This record gives sequence, structure tokens and C-alpha cells, in this order.
Amino acid sequence: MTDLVQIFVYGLTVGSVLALVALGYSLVFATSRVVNFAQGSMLVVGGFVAFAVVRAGAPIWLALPIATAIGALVGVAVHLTAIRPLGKFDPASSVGWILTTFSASLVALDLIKMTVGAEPRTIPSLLNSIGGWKGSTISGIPVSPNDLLIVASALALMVVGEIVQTRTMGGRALRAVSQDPAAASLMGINTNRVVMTSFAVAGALGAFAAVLLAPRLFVKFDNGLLLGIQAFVAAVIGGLGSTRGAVLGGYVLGFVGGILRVTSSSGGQIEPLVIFVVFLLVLVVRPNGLLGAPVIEKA
Amino acid sequence: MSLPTRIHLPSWATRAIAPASLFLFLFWYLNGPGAQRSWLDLGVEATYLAAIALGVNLLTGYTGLLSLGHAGFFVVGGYVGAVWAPAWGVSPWFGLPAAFVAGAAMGALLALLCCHLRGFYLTVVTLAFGSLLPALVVVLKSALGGTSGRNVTKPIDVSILPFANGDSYRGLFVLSTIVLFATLWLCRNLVHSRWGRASMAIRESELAASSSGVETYLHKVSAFALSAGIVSVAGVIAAERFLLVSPSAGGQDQSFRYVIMIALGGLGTLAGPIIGAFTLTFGFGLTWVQEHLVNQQNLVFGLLGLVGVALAPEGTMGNVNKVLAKLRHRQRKDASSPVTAVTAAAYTLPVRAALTASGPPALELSAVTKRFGGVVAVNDVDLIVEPGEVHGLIGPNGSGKTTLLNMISGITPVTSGRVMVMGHDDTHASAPKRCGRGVSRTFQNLQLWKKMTVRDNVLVGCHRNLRVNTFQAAFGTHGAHKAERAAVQRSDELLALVGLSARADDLAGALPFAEQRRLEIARALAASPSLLLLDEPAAGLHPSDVHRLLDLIGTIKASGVSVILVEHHMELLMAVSDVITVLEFGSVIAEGTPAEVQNNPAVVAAYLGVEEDVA
Repeated sequence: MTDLVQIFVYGLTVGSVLALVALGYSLVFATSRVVNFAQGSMLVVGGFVAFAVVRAGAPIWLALPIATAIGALVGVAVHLTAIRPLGKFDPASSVGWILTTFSASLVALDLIKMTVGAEPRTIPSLLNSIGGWKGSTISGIPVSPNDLLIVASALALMVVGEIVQTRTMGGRALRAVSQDPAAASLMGINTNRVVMTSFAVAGALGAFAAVLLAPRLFVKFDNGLLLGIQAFVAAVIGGLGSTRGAVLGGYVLGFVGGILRVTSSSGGQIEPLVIFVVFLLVLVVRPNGLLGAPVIEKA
Repeated sequence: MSLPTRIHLPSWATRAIAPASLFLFLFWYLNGPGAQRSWLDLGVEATYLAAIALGVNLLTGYTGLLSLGHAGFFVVGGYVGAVWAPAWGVSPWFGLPAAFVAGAAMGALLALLCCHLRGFYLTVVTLAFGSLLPALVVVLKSALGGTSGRNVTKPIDVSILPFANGDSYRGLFVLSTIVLFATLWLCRNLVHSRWGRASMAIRESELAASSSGVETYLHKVSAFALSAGIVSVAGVIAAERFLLVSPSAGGQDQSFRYVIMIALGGLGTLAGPIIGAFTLTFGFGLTWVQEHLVNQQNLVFGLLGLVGVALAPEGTMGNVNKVLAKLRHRQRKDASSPVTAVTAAAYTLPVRAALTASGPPALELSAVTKRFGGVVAVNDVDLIVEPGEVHGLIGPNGSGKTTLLNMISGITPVTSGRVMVMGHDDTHASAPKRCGRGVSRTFQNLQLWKKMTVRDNVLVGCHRNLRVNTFQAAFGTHGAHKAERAAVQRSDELLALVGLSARADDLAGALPFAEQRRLEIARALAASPSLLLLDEPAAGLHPSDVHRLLDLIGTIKASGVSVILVEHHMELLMAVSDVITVLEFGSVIAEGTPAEVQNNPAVVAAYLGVEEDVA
């Protein structure tokens, strides 16, 4: 029972965060067929910006929107510095964009190191009590109001995202660009702006997730690469470009992480190895993911 | 000013270039900047990083696969070559080959797992591979020494090397430089060989490479293994330098630096990686940089990556080569050398096996069907191509002609049915295997390797005939040179046949459309096919070029090669075909001689149409 509760608590909280970051990958991939190799570093940017704001004396409730906004700005900056200068290119056959988005992440991380510092940090929880409930233990496993907030806000964001995509003009433009950018631009859609928006939203999602997650996994530089790769794997499991797939993949990996931690004392350390194997298996068995559309290649 | 396209030296002189330049470089550096200890140390770093860059360039620059995990092999090399091998009681010198073998084996293993992937998927797998190291350090704490790493207790005695004068610092520089020159020599041999051309062909169009007989998957594995082995050897030298193997050197930012060095110097060039590695290493060695930027190395590399890739996507050497190519081009124009044309009639094509009329058909399709989801693209097609026959294949757009060719050449697997080539059941054979059997093709939407020269395009066509393995190529053996010369001669003959002799040294992408079409035919013929598949060779051609094509097909037919010709140009098709098969909605609706097909009412209704003013 204890184990099951622990798996659920870990799987739902970390899974929610992975889902949000994976959503960022999928969104950018949908609009531009590019994988933003700087997406993982948004977790670091968001966490450290929130820490800096709190250190300056502001409450954590103010730090959240500020960090999210800066995440969006960094997303735009990545698009402007790493993607736009390359002009027109075919992401499937060129590698320059991988180098530039990766470069952008190194620059962002070093700028954070120079301004805020490199040590791991903690930031306070966003939510300490819900109507007087200050957390409790279920079968010996602590569950905090913040955990509920993580899951609830992640789910809310996903629902909002789904509504925006299907019911608004902007969402339709996004789907049009993702299916056929040339046709979309002939219909008067500014594809550059749609792509830039997707980078901004992806950055905001990453930074937002980082602030939510901080009470559980701290604010540290390692998170950028490790969670970044995990979230990418989540996006691939679900099917790159599919928003629902990204959410599904995020929770799958969250639960895998929970199970590992419960069944083995060094589970957290061997997690990258397990994720690596899962990733390779998915790519062999179902390279388009669980919910992704198959790619038809023309000879 | 005269710029020779290729300098010809006597063979003893070419063989002496590498050792002589090694000698001069060592002599100069050790008596010049290397007299200072700090510069000696930088020299060691610059040379092993240059060797790494050359190795990674084989994979990233030439084969077009971007790895962000190669620093992992650097650490593997350190452990195997500098810690474990000496601990087994063998001479520490054996650490160098041991590291190469271990790194190459691990590289091959990783590649076997991920080389079926395309583009960024492969990059992410390598990135994830690199991030495994911290996990392994925890799991294998006793073997790897935890996060602080392992000390090198039995270092290689480098002080005995020439030029070292008994000093181990100088000796390490000598060793590192020898490794760099050896790597450069191996890379140079590989790049100008069958191996290097196949790599570039994969980079430019994997589809065409595999149709030309390149086993693309295995080739990518070999590129991965070679680059990983080279990086591992460099890892040994780095371990000797610090007398420590630290897992932190295996991070993804290190792997990224390897690639950025190459990208700034010039991906897919030999000098580029060395320029990049030397510039950045000595740049970071400058006092000012050491004082102000040493803690912001990732920032510097990141900015270099952003600016470099955007402003000079082909790197320093890419731009230098462009200028050189322009100068050479101008010079050739001035010289206006007379073109020696081989008349088609005077030339007989090399044919694989003499096909006799009594032997098995060149191709026999039985009940071949292809479904894409619910769509039936090709439905229950039977087709026989006799030896030496030109077999026309016509039908409206979307009737399944190209899908049929893809199934014959092995690019698309059949859903059901049987494909017999030269009497062998090749239903499940891959595209390279079928090329080996004698099936060769051209593509409707051209699949040339545009950034390779015209001659190199044809030379890759010779891939299967050019029997040189990777070791012979890497060490430039006598046999390899001999086979290479024969292949070059043959390619030049084929280029003469299609009238492209004058363009042999130009990039394929620079040719006008009609010449690109002819180049594809020359490339296909280089494989000495028994069955040639031509997919709309006349599409988009000027009438005079169509005439030329007609002659060419006649020559091909005269040499006994069977041809399947997919074409909308009726005049051409009717003139050269012995038999014509007509497809509609994936099914055969008629087959017969040109005259029979032209008068078949079903064909007229489906495809040819009626001229209204005939009456």
C-alpha cells in the first residue's frame, strides 16, 4: 500500500511536470519540425529566476508569473537567435539548427550561472495550505497541498491548451502551420509569428513547471539535462507533434520513475539508464509514438 | 596565376610528405613556442583535440550524423587505456590500441542501436548516451572511482620518444602529435576512398546511396565505430596529461565543443577540424581569456555556435574551398580545353554477366501487390523482362509506375507477391543487395549527391565493383590504389559516354538539369547493371536532349542490358521499346509491342486518348 501511494504521488507530480515540458517540445516540433534542444534549460531558467525574485524579497506568488514570463522571453530569444538567422532550411536533413539551439541553451545556462550562481537552491512552496489543510501522510507518505497544485494546474493548462487549439483562431492557425506551412502562409497566416509563439509558450511552460516542481526536486543545473531528456523521451513516446501524446508520455515516464524509486534504493540513479532503454525500444517498436501520425516518405 | 586542380608528385615524394611534415612540425614547435611549459601543455591539448575533431568529423562532417555523446568515448578511452590496461600487467603502451578497440566496439554497439534513426532522433540518443555516464559512475563506483575518477598509476613512459630528450612533458607532446598525424593520414586516405565517397553519398541522399549498392546501415555503424575509436585514443593521452581519468570530461557540453570546433573550421573538410581545434585551444590559452573568460567557456562556445553556424555554415575551410573552386573554374574557362567526346557507337558498356536469350528472365514479377494503408498502389502485377529487352512502362499519373520501380529496386517492400531477379528470388532482398544482383536505377525527382563532384557521383556508382575494404582504404594499400585507378578510368569513360567529361570536377549540383539527368544514367551504369530502371529520364528535357537520350538507350540496349523505361514521352517510348506494359490504378490493363498497345482500345481510353481531327 505504501509503495503504491508513493508511486502515485511521484508519478502524478513529476509526470505532470514532464508533461508540461514535453508539451513544449511537441508544440515547437508541430509548428517548425525542429526540436528545441534548449527546452530542458527552461527548467533551470524558471527555477533560478524564481529563486532570484524570492531572494530579492518578493513573495513566491509573484515569482511564478515573473519566471513564467521570462521563460517565454527566453523562448522567443532562442527562436530569434538560433532558428531565424538560419533562413529557410530542411530540419530533416540539416544539423545546423541542432547546434544553434544547443548553443542557445549553453548561453542561457551560463548567463544564469553568472547572474544568480551555480549552487543548487530551494524556493518555498506556492501553496502551504488549502482551507487549513497543511498536508497529511497517507500510509506514511507525505502529501502536500503543493503536490495537489502541481497536478491541478498541469491538468488545467492542458485543458486550456486543448481549447485554444480547437476553438480559437490562433489555435487553428497553429494547426494549419503544423500540417502545411506553405499552404498556411498562402492563406495569410504569418508562419514566423506562429513559430515564435510556439517557442514562447514552450519556454513559459518549462519555466512554470520548474517553479511548481522546485519543492520536490530543487532548483539545480542538473535538472536541465536530465529532466530535459526525460521530457523529450516523453514527447517521443506520445508522438512528437501530438499534444495529447506529450501529456500521456509525461505521465508514463513519471510513473516509471516512481516505480524505480520504490523498488530499488538506487532507482533514482539508474533512472537515466532505464529511460535510455525505454527510448530505444520505443524508437524501434513505434518510432512515431503512441499517438503520433505516421510519416510517409516519398521516394 | 596558375592553380593546378591536382598536384602530381612522384610516389616516393607523396609518401614522404607526412613523415617530413611531422618532423618539421615537432622540430619547430618544441624549439619555438613549446620551449615554454605552458605552451607545451597547450600543444598537447590542441593536438589531441584536433585528433578528436578529425575523428568526429568522419561521422558528423562526412557521413552527416550529429553526435552529442562522443565525449563519453573520451572517458571510456581514459579508463581502458590508461587505468585498466596497465593494471592487467601489460606495457602501458598497449593502452593506446586497447582504447581504440574498446571505444570502437562501444561506438559500434551504440550505433547498432541507433543508426536506423534519422536526423535529430540519432542526436538525442547520443545525448542520452552521454548522460548515462553520471549514472554509471554511481553504479560502478569501485571500477570508475566515483565522481572524482581514477588516478593513472602506471603512465606511459613517453620520455623515451625521439625529440623528448628524456622529458615526459615533451614526450607527451610528441606522442600526441604522432597520434594527430596518424589520424590525419588515416582520415585523408578514407575520405578519398570508396569509404569516404559512400559516407558523403549517405549524407547527401541515403536513398540514392542504398540504391547504388552502399550498405548504408553498416556503413554508418563503421563511421560511428571509427570516430569513437579515435576519440578513445585521445582520451588516453588526456589521461596521461592529467594522470587522472575524470568522468566529468564526458559531459554533453564537451561533446558539443568537439562539434563546434569542426563546424567553425569546416564540416566535411580535412583541414577544418584542425584549424578549429587549434584556434579554440590556443585562444583559450591566451592570458586575457584565462583571466576573464575561463569560467564562461560554455557561454563562449555557445555564442560561437550561434554566430558561426548562422554566418558561416560551411566553416572556414568551406569558404576557402569555395574561393578556390571559383578561381579554378575561371581558369578552366580561359584554357578552354578541347572536349574529347567518345561516340556512343564506339563504346561497349561493361556488362556483369553475359545474359543469354535462353537463360532466366532479367526480371520476373509474380502477383506483386503493394498496399499503403487502405490504398492499393500496385495490384497483382505480373511482369517479365527478357534479357536485352527494353520494356516500356506507361500509365496515367498515380497508376503505380514509380511504386513498381521502388519494389523492383528494393526501396519499398512488397505487400505480397514474388520478385525474381536473374532467376534468384529477391523478394526480401535490400536495395544494396539487389544492386549487387545487377539492378540499377535512376530517379524521377533527381537524387544526385549535389555537394560531390560529377566524377565522385559516378565513382559511388562503382561502389560494388570497387572491391576495397575499409582497412585497405584507411591504410592506402597498393591494391586499393590500383582498384581506385581502374574505377576512375571507368568513371571517366562513362562520363565521356554521356558527354560530361568536361564537367567531371564540377559539383553535381552545379550542372544544368539535362546534364544532371545524364549523370544519373552514368551513375546507374557504373554499377554494371544487368537490369536498368529509368524513371522518366526524358521529363523536362529539351527535344535535342531527348534525341541524345534515344541514342544512349540504344547503346545501352546494344550492350545487352535489359531496361525498364517509365516514360510519358510517347515518341521516345515507342521508338525504343520492344514490349510495353500499361498500368491503370495499379493493375496491368495491356501488354504488347508498341503497335499493339497503341491500337488497344482500353489503353486509348485510359491513357493515350484520341486525336479528334484524325478522321
